[in-house]
Amino acid sequence: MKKQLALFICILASMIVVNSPVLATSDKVIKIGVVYPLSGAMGLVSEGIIAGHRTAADVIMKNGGFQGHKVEFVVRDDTGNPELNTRFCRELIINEKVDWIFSGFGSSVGLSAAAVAKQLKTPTFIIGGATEKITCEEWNPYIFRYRPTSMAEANAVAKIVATQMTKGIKDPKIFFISWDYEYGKSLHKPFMKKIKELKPDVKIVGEAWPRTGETDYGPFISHMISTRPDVVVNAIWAGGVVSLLKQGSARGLWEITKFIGTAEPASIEYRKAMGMDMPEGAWGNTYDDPTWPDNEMQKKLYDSYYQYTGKPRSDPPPAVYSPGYYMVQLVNKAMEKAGSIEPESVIKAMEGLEIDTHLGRIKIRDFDHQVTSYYIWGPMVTQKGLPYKVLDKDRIQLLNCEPDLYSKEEWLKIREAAGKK
Amino acid sequence: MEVVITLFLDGLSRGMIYFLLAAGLTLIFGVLNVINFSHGAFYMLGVYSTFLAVKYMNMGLAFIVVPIFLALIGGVAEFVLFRRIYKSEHVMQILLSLGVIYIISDSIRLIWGVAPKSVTMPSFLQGLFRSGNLLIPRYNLFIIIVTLSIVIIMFLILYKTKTGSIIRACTINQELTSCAGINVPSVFLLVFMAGVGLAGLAAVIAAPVVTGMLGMDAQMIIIAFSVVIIGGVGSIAGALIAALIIGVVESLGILVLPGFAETFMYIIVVVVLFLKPDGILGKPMT
Repeated sequence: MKKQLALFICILASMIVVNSPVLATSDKVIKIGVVYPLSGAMGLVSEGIIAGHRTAADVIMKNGGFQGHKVEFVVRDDTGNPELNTRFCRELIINEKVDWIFSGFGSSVGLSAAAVAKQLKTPTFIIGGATEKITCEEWNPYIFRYRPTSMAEANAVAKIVATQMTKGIKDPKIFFISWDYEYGKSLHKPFMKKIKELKPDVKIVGEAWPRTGETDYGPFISHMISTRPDVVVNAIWAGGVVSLLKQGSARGLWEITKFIGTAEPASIEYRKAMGMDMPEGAWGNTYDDPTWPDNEMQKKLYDSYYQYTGKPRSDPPPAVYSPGYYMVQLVNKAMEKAGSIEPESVIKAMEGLEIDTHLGRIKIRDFDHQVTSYYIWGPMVTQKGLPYKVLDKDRIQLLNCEPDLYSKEEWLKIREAAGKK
Repeated sequence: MEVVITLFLDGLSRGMIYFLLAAGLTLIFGVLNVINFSHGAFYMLGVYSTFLAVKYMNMGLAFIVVPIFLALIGGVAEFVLFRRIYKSEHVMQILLSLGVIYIISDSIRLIWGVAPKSVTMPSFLQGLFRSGNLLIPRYNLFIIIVTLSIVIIMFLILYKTKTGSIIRACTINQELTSCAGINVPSVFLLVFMAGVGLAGLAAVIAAPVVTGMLGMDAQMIIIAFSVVIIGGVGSIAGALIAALIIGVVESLGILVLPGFAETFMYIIVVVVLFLKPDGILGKPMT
């Protein structure tokens, strides 16, 4: 009898131990596969995002987050190529057995990462792919997107062009330039629609569609010079926009026209790369600015950056650091809400989740998994003593993308029209 | 009309850079019978070297230092590597050049990192030249004038000097040239160095208007080979005509079919291969 009781207690104890979430899973390392362009025309910004991921994970782990588990990042360089992105996402999920994928720096790679997420049922956080399709026609329950959509950007650009850059100009002339791929196309249509609404007398004097990753913008610049636009609206990004701006400066393009760019040309990374070659008064957007809004939350965010990277305080954090940081925070908060690290539970917990950021509150919409994130827009001007341009604080605009996103009804209609459930 | 003129001049300036790059390649191909796929990688090295030269010296000195530096690197590559495969099949030459591409690319990555590099144009060359309603980037005019001068010097060397005669003789018949007492391996070394030096010159001239980026060699080598094929292997004059055609077609092509401007170059290659397989000014290959 005593032996049976002892055996029963042993069995009961082992069941408790095996099923205890802390003890049973404490050896489990949460693996996050990171697939970004680390080189080439698109490689200018990925380092900053990865620093954001790692710092956030470090801070959270020190405070016992991720349900007591460690987090490990496994990084791959897709060079911005969708085929490589697909290959690496699949390899990370199948061979490295990652629990999450962070990817999609670019609309084409965002779509390819979303397709892999659906096929292999792995939660995927897309940082930078802007095309509406990712969270609309090609949406699946495993994807989340951080950055504002191309439609939100397009509407913001149209408003700024109409109210700031062509104020008082009769029959303003616009030239549109973008890489010939998904992002540019997805931005072009809503921009054209919105600008014609806001400025019916606008004239589109030209469009240019260089191939993705182009480094020589000579003929396109000559084309723009000859059409003499009032504003050049640009959707080229990363190393491409640096090339376009520098080559445009060298050829005198910005003497005769103004520039506004999407996809974050006002980020500190680009401003430093451009130096004083950035055209005076050029407008752009950015995820973050080292000197604005300069609140306590931003200071704390940057403290963690300097602690983790060991970089001097004179070196401002890259603009993509904060979205990289908040992405990891969102995942952790969802794990807290779910009380679990199990992906399906975490996905459910992410829907409707809100966190505070230094720019304001952001939320993951429950039906399309789009984060209602912010962009800072502003013109770039000279500041004495600095070797690069700064955002003009008097004209900064903080825009949340939520007003420009599809409503749930619109979203359902578009998906129905595309034959999706 | 102004649009067409501006783009035409832009095309001419692009064509001039293509010519400098392709002239080196056609010399190497024509004299040494070597398919040097690493020619684009040497050009890429030239762009990065220009960045360094401008950083520590100035653009004027870069015009001298970078081509000489590249010629020396080319000389080492020829002496150590390429000379061993002159009589090998072309597939071996391609494999070797691929290896050289990786060596150059990884060296650039180690020294300069992966971030794009750009060269600031001298201020007196920046901006626009205005003539009535016409606005032309000053640097485009600079490229045309400087490269034309280099073309004239090249033709004078090739057709008016003893060295040029020897090089042309090697293109026609290496064995006969050797029988005449010429040290053909030395000529090969000189031609290879000159070819890579020309790539360096193309890089210096192009550097203020392009962005140094890993992978830029891939596009340039395709253009260079297209110029060689269209112009005719070993023909400098043919390379000049072909380069200008490609440059102008690329520039004007963005007006006609913006998304397909590059395709026109390949169409020209196909048409030339179909109508005159040896190229515009090429001689039949024996």
